[in-house]
Amino acid sequence: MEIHRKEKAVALHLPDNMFRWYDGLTKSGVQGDLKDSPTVGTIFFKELNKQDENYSMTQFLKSICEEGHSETKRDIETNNRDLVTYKIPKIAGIYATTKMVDDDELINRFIVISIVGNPPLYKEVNDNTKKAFLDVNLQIEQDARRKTGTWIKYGLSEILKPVDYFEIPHIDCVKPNNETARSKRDLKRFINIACVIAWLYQQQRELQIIDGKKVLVVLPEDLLNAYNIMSKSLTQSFNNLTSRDLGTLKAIDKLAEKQSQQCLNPNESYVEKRKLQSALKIKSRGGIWKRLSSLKTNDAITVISDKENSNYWIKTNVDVISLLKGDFIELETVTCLKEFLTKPDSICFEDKDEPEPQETPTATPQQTSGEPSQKKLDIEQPLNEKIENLRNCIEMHKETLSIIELIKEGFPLEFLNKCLAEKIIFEKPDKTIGG
Amino acid sequence: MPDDKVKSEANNNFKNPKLLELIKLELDREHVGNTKEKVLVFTIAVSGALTTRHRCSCALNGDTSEGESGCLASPR
Repeated sequence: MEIHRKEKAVALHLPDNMFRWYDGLTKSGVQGDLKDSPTVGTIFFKELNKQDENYSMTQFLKSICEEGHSETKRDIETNNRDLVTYKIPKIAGIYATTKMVDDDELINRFIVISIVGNPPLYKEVNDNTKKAFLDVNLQIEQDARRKTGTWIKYGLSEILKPVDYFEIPHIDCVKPNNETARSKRDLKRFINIACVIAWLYQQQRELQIIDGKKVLVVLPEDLLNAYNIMSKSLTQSFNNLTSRDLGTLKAIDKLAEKQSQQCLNPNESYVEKRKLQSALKIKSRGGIWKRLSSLKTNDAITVISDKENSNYWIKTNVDVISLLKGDFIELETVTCLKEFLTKPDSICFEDKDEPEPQETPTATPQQTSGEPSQKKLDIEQPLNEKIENLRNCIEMHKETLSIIELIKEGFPLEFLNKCLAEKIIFEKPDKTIGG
Repeated sequence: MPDDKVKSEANNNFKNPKLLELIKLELDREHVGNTKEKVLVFTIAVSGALTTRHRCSCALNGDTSEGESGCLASPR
């Protein structure tokens, strides 16, 4: 079958046998194609709207993106005499939409990534478009690049090797926001993205073999990079608000603050719709109402009408500052992970306004000699030797150590948990470990 | 088929500690802006290469013409 390939952005960099792009979706078509293509792990599909697609298609997509899909039906090849079972493993599904379908279950299965532009970005895009037409060599070069394939595509198909398991020794640093049920799903998503990043970095790591299975260790820098790239999207998704919504709330809050400072509005924190529209530089009445209706649906604002003056007054119902700072994981996670970094130069996309670590880690002799601070134990090291090392480590320290401190010393969390379960070590009432 | 230049670039870049930044720069050549979102979509797409338990899915949401589809792919 010829692959219908879209030659741009993300899809351009994926090996042909790894993904599919479906412009039109039929359940049997997707089912048959994925059954015949076991190497396909990612699918891109067109906008999915409940009113456009049938119920069974939505259920099918939910199913393959959540835990895989299995269906038993009559086999056409045997004239419907026998039964045949189709099994599709879990797939990474990606789609773009201008409106989210009104289906909480569906939205919960997808990380909602909000794409919002602004005038400087529009200018950058337009300049880029003009540049391509100014110099025809750029177009020729771009086409040639698309034909030969990019270095990312080559690396994904030829350099990186499959891995069976991931181990995250510093997972205890990650403190999820346990207030809502969604945190369970978001934590898994966060861990999975960290595993993908570790997999991309596998050329710079040692692959461990345990019981014939390939195991890759996810380092604190992978967790931090995952946090940096997905924090914004998961926080928005967690609050059920897009970044555009948050921008509108911020503008309302700013106007209300300005009014209270100037004592312009005695009417508490209500702001005029006209002023808000002007502050957001929205020209049409439809545009401002579109923004406000989205916030109203989420009960984030109250709108009252002033019929005499044909105006509206708006007030936020939420604590905007805490909403903007709100996070799907506690901020202390970042501080903790930063203490255990082995390669700080591999940290990317750090926000400038991110809080600095509260405490500077004490330099160890290894750090001063320029070596990585983390002494990682060899996973293949015999178990007795590992236990002996752990006992020595506990005895050597005058001050008793906690689990986190033992992880810092290089003992994997899984190993420590096993030792606790086997009663090789025990947890004292003050949460320190005894041997 | 990729030429030797692409192969050597791949071999060097996958050993570079700033690999994610290099991936971002490469993605920038086809789609301008939305840096973190673009890299996140890329990692989600790559999760399809891992075992099933590590796969994730995403929906790109944006007003019309904001570039939510262009972030994924556009026809030539």
